[in-house]
Amino acid sequence: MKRRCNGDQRRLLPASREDARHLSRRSFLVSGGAALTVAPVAVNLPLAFADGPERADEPRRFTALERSVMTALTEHLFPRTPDSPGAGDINTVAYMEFTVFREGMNPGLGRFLVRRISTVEEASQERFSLPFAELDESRREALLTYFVEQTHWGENWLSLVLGYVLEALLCDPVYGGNPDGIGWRWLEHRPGFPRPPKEKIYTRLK
Amino acid sequence: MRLEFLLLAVFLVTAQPGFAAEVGEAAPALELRTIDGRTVHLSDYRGRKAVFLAFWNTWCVYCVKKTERYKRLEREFGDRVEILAVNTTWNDSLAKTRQYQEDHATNYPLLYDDGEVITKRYGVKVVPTEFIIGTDGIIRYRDGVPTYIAAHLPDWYEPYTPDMGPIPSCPNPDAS
Repeated sequence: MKRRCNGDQRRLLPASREDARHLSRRSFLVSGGAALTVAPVAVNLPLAFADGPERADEPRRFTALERSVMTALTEHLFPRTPDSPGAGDINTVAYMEFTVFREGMNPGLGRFLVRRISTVEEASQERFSLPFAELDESRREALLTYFVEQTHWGENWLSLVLGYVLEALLCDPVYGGNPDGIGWRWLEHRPGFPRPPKEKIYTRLK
Repeated sequence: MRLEFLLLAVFLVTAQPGFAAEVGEAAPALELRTIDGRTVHLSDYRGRKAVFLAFWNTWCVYCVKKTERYKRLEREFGDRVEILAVNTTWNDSLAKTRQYQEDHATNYPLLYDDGEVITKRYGVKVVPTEFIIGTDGIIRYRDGVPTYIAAHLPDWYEPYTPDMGPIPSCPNPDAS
């Protein structure tokens, strides 16, 4: 991965207020999200939910620290606004848990995601002497920008996290995200028919 | 003839083996004694721990300023980064180094490069000069070590790739 310093990659980070004036989050998602809706769900979820969330031997979950970092991070990347849901509203962290730790999920991807959570927390402690979850918006933004511009993993890692956020926003609720179709309603998207019943999600049919 | 001889002499003087120890290269071997008498081999850390190698002198004001930082790094990241502070011995002495350790209560090992063997091997011309060496034995930084290292530590434990070098052209968000 060649690193770029021209600011292009900042577009992976949450739309700033300035950006929002030019392109609303909704219009961005409506215009460009159709492919994203299909691709990640079609490719990742089948692997991710091979055994379903209610499997007897419960898969690993985020630790309390991982959960707090990831909650703060995803809410920073995809904050709630008066007329749109945020990462918390679309169950992003729970969706990620079920996806990342599923048997059949690319283990390297999961390790990459999880290992860097502790790096984020440690970097926050080192630089601001505060947990990442307690940083204010500008400090979080500064730290994330630093990861993107100054490290070799930051750009890919934040892209991965943002990908999960979009999947949680757009997937069928049966997969854990987008509860009650809140993301669809916001985007005025009419889901396909028939929708998958819980016992017939893609991976269970494999 | 005289000019040719002179050119030959200049060539012989300047054409010494290059020991630049640059980013992306394997760190030259290092074997030194600490001022406490312990022998340190760089190879001991291969595959185990990243190494922060700092060349310094007791009279060097900038080196003194960095001491507190090294102590903090040792406290916070000592389990993953080994700080080795090599006294180049330029206009310095073992006694002064021992005194320095006492005065500053250093919590990381001070090494004494008698004969400047390692200093020359690393191509060090000024102090302080700092190196970060990954667990794969490859030099990641020659000076310009990031102020905050937590975000970079994972890189030092991964196999080196050419684009893992420093990013000098990027703005430092701390400065904004």
